[in-house]
Amino acid sequence: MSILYRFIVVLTIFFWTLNCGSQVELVSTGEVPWFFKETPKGIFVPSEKEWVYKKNKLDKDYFFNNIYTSNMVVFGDPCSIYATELLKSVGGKSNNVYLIRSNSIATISNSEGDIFITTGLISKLENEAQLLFLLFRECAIIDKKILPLKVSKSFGVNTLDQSIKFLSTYDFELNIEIDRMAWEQVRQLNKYTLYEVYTAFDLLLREKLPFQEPNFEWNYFNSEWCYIPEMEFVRLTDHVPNKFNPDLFSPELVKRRNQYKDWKRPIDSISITSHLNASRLNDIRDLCRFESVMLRATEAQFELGLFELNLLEKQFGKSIRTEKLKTTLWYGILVEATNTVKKREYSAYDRSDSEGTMITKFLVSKSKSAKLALVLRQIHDIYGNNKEEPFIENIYNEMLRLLANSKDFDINIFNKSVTFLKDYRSSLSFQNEGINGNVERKNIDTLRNFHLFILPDLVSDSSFLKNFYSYVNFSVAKSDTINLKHFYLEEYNRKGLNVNRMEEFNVQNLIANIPISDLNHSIESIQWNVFEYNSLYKLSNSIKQGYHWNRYSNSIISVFGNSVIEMDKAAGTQLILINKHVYQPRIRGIHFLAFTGVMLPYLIPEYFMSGHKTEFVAFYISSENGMMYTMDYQTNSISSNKTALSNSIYQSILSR
Amino acid sequence: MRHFKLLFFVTCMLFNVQQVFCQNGFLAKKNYVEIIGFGNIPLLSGAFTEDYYRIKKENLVKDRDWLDYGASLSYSRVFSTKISLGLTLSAKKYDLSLPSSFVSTYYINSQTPSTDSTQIRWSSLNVTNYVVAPRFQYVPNIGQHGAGIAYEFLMGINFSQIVNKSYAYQINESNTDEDSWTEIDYYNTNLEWGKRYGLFIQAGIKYRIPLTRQFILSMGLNYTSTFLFRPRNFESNYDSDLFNSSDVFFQQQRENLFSISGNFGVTYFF
Repeated sequence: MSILYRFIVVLTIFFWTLNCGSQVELVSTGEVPWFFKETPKGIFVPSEKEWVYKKNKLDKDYFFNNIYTSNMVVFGDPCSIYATELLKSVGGKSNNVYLIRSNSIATISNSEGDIFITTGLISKLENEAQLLFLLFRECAIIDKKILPLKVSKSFGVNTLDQSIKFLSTYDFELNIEIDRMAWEQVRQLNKYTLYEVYTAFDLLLREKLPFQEPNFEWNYFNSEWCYIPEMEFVRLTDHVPNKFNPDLFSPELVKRRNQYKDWKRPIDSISITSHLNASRLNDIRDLCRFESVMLRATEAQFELGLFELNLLEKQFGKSIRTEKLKTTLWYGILVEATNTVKKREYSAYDRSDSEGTMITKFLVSKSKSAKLALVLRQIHDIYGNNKEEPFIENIYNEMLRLLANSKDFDINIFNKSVTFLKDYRSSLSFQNEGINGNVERKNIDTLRNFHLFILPDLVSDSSFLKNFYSYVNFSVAKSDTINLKHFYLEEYNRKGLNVNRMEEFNVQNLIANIPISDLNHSIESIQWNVFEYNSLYKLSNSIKQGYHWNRYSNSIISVFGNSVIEMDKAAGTQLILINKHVYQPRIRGIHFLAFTGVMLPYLIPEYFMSGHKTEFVAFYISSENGMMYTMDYQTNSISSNKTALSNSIYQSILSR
Repeated sequence: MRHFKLLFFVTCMLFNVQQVFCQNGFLAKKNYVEIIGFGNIPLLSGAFTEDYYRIKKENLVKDRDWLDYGASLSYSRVFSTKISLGLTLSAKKYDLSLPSSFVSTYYINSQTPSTDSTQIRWSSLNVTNYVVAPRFQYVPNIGQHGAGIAYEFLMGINFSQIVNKSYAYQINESNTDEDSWTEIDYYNTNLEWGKRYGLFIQAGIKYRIPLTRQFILSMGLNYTSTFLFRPRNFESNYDSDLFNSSDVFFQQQRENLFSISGNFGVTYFF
């Protein structure tokens, strides 16, 4: 009996450690925190030009509203539990700590004393002391009631990271003071070496970098059918590499760090102290590292994502999760290459010679055709091993559709290379060995045209070609049943928030205006619980993806497309509508120009209606394969008018 | 003629293709009629500062030209989510003020001319502009057909007609005495005022607020320029000193050259 008991205990611990490790996804559990219940149900829509005319100076409430409605806050997860426990047991403070899915490194706190940490912070954490120092820092901010610097309303892009950045920006003098308070508090605990605490500043400096930066392996792309010669990478490396130096980009932070430079010790003297379970720290770090890759996929940092994913693959091996992420990242590169709308801005890190930028530099140096061939090779290989996975299958089919209709990709040119390769192989007599890095290939000019040689199996496979050509001019069938979901944010009038009006804008009221006779529709109500919150996160993530990938200009496969449909168990296309009133009316001096006639169309709605300017987002997720087909993004210079909104919904349905 | 055929077919094709795929009107309604009233204070033309008289209690009193006003009726058809084309008919009423004094020159002998100036007050001339113009309307990204902001552009023909009726006048021959005005009298111009033709160009911005599924409130601004073509010869005028028809034309041309008017009306989608 005791043996059986021990066996069960060992088994339980084994599965528990498996679950606690990389295999657990970051999801919210438990009770929904108070701040979600107080903010109106809505979804934050990132936008390139900030579409906010609320106040002259944007304040803390505004940015926190962005954070809450972005649904990127995680609660009841191992990371926030760990941080809350750490603060309570070691620091003796009882603040709640929550996690935000963001690759920026920051801590922020709301007016009620809740602390928010980011996944970017946890993923780059080296020891417990760093986290505690940053938490103490935030506690000092709460105690002293320090407010972040106010931001002008024309602050530029309106994204979650930007909101976090503004909420964690303080006056330099205040920063020095807060640092000192936190430093003293950690010092008084007498539990960590001060060098460990000192490294917290290094952690803050590593925001732009990947979580680890080992040397990039030049045989990364090489597989059975794909061979990229090392010369490709040799060509890209400078003999005096210009490595990314974060110190140059955050001089203020360096000044803050220099206050404590006496505590900088040689690397030998590191002693990692931990007062909670040390393996838990590793577990949550791995959890956040997976999240980091996920965020890179969402935020269109595909190459850096591939680099980080490679590190995780080495550590944990291949799994469905890593394969899905890899497919998404390669699909992103494909969308970027075939869709010319968005022009990526490369960061200072991308332009440096650091190891994490090798894939970026390699892909930038390649022609579009080569890039597309490489994408086809990579996604085809992943699909070959995971044919049962619907998400990978969807991406594979979508890839074929994009490639078949792309002007830059002609599958016929690869035929010539096949005949050439066959002759070459027979001359060397290694038909069955495949191609790998060890084979001498002196006579082939693969330096420039490597991509011609990476698809020989596909172009000689008639079933693949038949499948490929079937996607030329392929159009997606429309579904008749539509499930509507509607989210809205605030609705203002001249006196402030208009609660009565918000109730008026539910889907039932809106579609009452629409002459839908040929379309069946069912309306889903929204319940406020953890399950609903997690599905809201998936929707928010899809919108974020739409913004970062191509500014909502084209349809894409949402990372969570399948899951959203699975969770809702809805038949028919899911139409998700987000209506956001982004304006609080206010008569300004300039409106008096109305008397000369110039501003009349602006003054009248300002004065008589409840202001103007609304944002309307609609996107569809097909129930058949979970694809996000279309994304409408409209900004209307009209107040939240029921009839106008109905018109937007109707047009979205018809243009589906 | 060859090009005309090509142009005709291309235009037909464009319109047909657009119509097949068009579901872009307001709640899928593709046609709309708009009735708009508009008006402006003629500040830019300078008419506001000029002498302007109207009849009050058997007397002509000084006033200002406070408002030029009119109405328009237009029909448009939606061709895409952004563009609609149509036709506008409009009429606008305004007043022209006339010279306030005239100078008669007579000779005592052949060398020494002498002048005598007489003050005169005219009730202003009533003029009506009729416009027929095709209309192009563009909805920017921050709007939709039937809601929000839309820009419009019109280019067409303007007919300007002076209303031929009896206009009141008073004369004062004393230069000093302000009270010695004659009693009111009526002057029939006896002229057949010809139509003045002109090129009408208008750009405008509209802000629309839907009230119901059909009716939409419209308001906005028009920036209008009318270039009146000078007639080949002006009609003969017996009282050429007093009432010069070419003077009237230039006055008319100046008043029409540029104006900014506000407008307000209703759009009906069907």
